[in-house]
Amino acid sequence: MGFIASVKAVAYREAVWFRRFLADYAIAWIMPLLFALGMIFLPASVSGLSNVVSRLSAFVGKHLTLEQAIVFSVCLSSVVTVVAVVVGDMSQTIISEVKILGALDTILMSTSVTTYFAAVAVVRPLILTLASTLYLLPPLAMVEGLHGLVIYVQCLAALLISGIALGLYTTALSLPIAFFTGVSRPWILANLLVPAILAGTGIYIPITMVPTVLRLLALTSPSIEMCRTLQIVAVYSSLSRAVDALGAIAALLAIYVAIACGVGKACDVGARR
Amino acid sequence: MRSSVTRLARLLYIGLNLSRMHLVSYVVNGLSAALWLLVVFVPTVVLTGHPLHAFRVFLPGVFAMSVGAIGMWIATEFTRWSVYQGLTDMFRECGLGVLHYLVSCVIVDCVAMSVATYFITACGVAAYISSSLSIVLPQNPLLFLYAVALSVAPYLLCGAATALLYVRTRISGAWTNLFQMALALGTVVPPKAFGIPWLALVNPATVVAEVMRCAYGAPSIPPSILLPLAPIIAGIEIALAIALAERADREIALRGIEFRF
Repeated sequence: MGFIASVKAVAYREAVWFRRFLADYAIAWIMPLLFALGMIFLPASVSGLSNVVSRLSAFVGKHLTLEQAIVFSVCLSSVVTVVAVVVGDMSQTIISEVKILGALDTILMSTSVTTYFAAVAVVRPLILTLASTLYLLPPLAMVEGLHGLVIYVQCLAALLISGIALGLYTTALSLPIAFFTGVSRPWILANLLVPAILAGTGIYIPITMVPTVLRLLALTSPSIEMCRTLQIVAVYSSLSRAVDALGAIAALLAIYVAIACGVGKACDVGARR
Repeated sequence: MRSSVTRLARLLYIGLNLSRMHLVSYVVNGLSAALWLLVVFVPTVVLTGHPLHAFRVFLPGVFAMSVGAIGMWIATEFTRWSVYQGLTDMFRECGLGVLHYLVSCVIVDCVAMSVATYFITACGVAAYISSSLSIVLPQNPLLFLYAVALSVAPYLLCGAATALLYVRTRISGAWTNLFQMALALGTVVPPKAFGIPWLALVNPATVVAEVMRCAYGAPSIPPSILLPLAPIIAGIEIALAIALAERADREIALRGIEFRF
């Protein structure tokens, strides 16, 4: 079974599975909205709404109204969702498929570790990113009207590219942990990696405020560039202004492909032996 | 009296041994919770423009909210995930129920984990906003301990209420993610934001948040009324928790419970 056939098989499985995770998706839509609104109204409970909006304006370097601040906050919350869903779900699935579910026999019989996990790393982030960021559409359309749709499409383009990069990043990290270490609980990597990357990205605060250790960890993933892209899209609604950040994500993507393929090959050889 | 004390001691012993089996998961989950709280609260604290004051207002709220949320997760574990491993059945075969499971987890999950997570989070936030870690320490340690002791009451009440909800419905345990957000009103969102601060006491965890705010010198409700009132509220909460947990047990006895995710 080649790469394309594996992609088809994984896509079929994801489509069949989809209904089972509807409750999780509903939560993945509501939580970031609460998070985004909390980011504006919670500090406002201490120091007033206008103060918070002016601080956000100072952060993005352009005067924002309350509506624009909300759009900005909602767009950025998708970084949290995508990192949490893609990195969290994929690393848990990879480790439990290898360690607990025993999917390895089927994989080795029909294809190779590299092909299967490469197919998963492309198909799953696409579906997960698209489905988990659908919540962006209603608030953007409500606040900005038709222009909100333009922002949504640009956000989605940036998120899909970063989603695939995150998927490959997770694969490159999780495969050696699943095959060559004694980590037996699938949630251990996911529970630590996701919040550590997000805390290191510093989403709503200048990256210079983030402690160095967390920042270095976040720099290994595409999350910082992803965050920068979304900030530019949310404020200026122009993806072309973010072309250098997108280029950085693409460069990281290439590096992750190389690492993931190398690691996959080593795991395949190790498992067959 | 004596038998109930030994029973409590046995429950705590069971809880300690159960948590020893999952030591790695506990460490990971504590760190994970602390990191998530950093993701949420560092920007919030920074965006207020008065980070030190915001630190003293929000962080006690975080403690209170996480205590309630832990209660909810423990109840979810008992009525959803642990059904598969047979832990729920094992407890019920020994004549124990929802409240006993919650009590058995009190030392490790409620007190030790929430205090540890709180201090890791507080040190983390302090690392972002200030150069010294001394802002983490409460001005009045006795009131801090008082708040930690009071936290058992909302833990039990939130846990019992969640257990009752889950044994009565077939919804996925993932919804606990959302229910715990309701606890933010009155705890993380300070009672001042409600107009009438007393309204915030509807949330069972508010008392804990307010007493801990007193320990940091930033209360919304006057301490002279709050501090004597707190044990009365806690007593009512525990009585309610016992009643709700009994109803949940009766529900399981009537209809049984099956594994759902």
